Amino acid sequence: MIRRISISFSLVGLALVCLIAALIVGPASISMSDAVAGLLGQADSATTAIMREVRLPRAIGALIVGAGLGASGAALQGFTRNDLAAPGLLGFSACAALGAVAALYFGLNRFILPAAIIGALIGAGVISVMARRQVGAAGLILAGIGIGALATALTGLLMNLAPNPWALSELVYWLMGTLENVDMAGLSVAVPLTLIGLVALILTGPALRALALGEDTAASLGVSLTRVQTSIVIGTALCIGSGVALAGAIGFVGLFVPHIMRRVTGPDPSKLITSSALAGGVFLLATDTIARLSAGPGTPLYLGIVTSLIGVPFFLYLALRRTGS
Amino acid sequence: MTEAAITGLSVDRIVKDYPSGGGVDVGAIQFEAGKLIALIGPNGAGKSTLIKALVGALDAQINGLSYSGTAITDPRQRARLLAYLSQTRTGPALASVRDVVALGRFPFGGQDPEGRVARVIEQLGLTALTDRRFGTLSGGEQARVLLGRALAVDAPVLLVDEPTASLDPHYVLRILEALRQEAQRGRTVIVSLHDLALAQRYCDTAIVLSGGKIVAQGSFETALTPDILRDVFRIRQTPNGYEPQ
Repeated sequence: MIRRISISFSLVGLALVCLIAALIVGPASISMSDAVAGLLGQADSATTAIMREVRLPRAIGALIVGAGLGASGAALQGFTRNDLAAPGLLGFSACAALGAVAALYFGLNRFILPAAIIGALIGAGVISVMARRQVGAAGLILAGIGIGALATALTGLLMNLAPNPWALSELVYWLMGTLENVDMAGLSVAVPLTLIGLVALILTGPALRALALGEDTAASLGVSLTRVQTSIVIGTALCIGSGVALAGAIGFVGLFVPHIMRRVTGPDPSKLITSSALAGGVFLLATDTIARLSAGPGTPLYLGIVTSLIGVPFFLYLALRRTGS
Repeated sequence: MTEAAITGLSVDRIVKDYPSGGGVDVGAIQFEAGKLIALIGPNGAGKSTLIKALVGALDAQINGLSYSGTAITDPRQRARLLAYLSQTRTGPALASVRDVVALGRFPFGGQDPEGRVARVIEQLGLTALTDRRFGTLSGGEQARVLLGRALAVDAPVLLVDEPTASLDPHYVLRILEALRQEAQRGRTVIVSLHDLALAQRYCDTAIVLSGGKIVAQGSFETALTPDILRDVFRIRQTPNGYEPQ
């Protein structure tokens, strides 16, 4: 218990350090005191605007998107009893992206968030039904790849049909994954929805613990598999849908954050979902801050590309280790 | 027999249909308390289906499920009264033996006021393994830990599905000894077994299933007649044991 609290405290502490760093670094050099004054609305109008409308939303966006990805990955790995399960690999993110791109394509920019959540719900629903049919680890990942590929192909079709290069480039940049366009208006919807999703996922923890004994045994212990499945589908869809609507496709965070946290907190799903949410937020905020710093003027480094470059080698390592054992 | 005299698990009817066949359709059964009851029958007779239906692991039609006269109506009540040990040895590979056994307290919200988990660990001789990770244990050790998980529920009824599959003789005998002890403590223990000789040696009574129906029940002498052996199991008894018909 003490260890668990101290891990959570360390992660919250780390999140605060990253948040402060994220708020004071950037292309416009703003001192610590100006940054605080800006956040409080007491600095000059330019500093206030940068702090309140650019850096703070972006940092909150990173924390919330990362938390949603980390928790979703941990919950999916527990539910499918498969350590390769993650929102990206199972096609949820691609489905959410398809929903969001469809909204953008048809000019329904105000409906990006609900469209992304509906996309993620469809992907999550299909995969969870597959998981219940006991298709096995390989079958599940294959189904996820299939659904993801279909969603990506349909997204490609919409890009193909994009009316003009400007619309196309908007879609492309957005799909590469970036927190650049996060604003307070978007956050005011995405943050509550992600928090609801996180609570739904965290509440499945005890049932997931029993589910590690297999579905039959879990049912004999009084676990309602339908209820767990519904919570996981809705929880991940809210987290992934909101995350994709805010930041586009951010790959692999949901895969490797739970893996690293499993080493720290142990295999218990309850602890893992909470700690992966905290660690996912910290990771994405730190990565985004570093990506912002290392990007040249005028050429932003897209966050989704950075996380994929970090995540792919990790995925290959896991895949090789599985084939080895 | 009056209602009050019934101790143990009873059910009026269980029906589970599978589109591909292999379901069960059985009428009233009494599982007496304090008895080790063997559920026997050839492959596909419906032994696992019957057990899973009773513990709520299958979406089956069950009428009149009750324990010692008390109707079992909701899943939590059923989880507290009926403990189940699955045929597959699935468990959280990275969790400790203690944590796996403690999962048996799930129907009680994880509460263990009487220290049941510690007692079961001691009783099954798992003390030396307590901090080991489940995934690092041998098959026989895992089987004992999962039995401990089922015993940790402290349910009056224990349903065990083919506990001896792919275990060496040492562990097979230890598991059956443990089940017999639980029956002697007053629990109703129902165990599906393939090995007739083993069933006969350890169990008090038998229920013979074939094609999803109960074809014989009672003591082994009355249940395992030469006709049943021939028609259901396609074997016959010889002085040295059984041989194929």
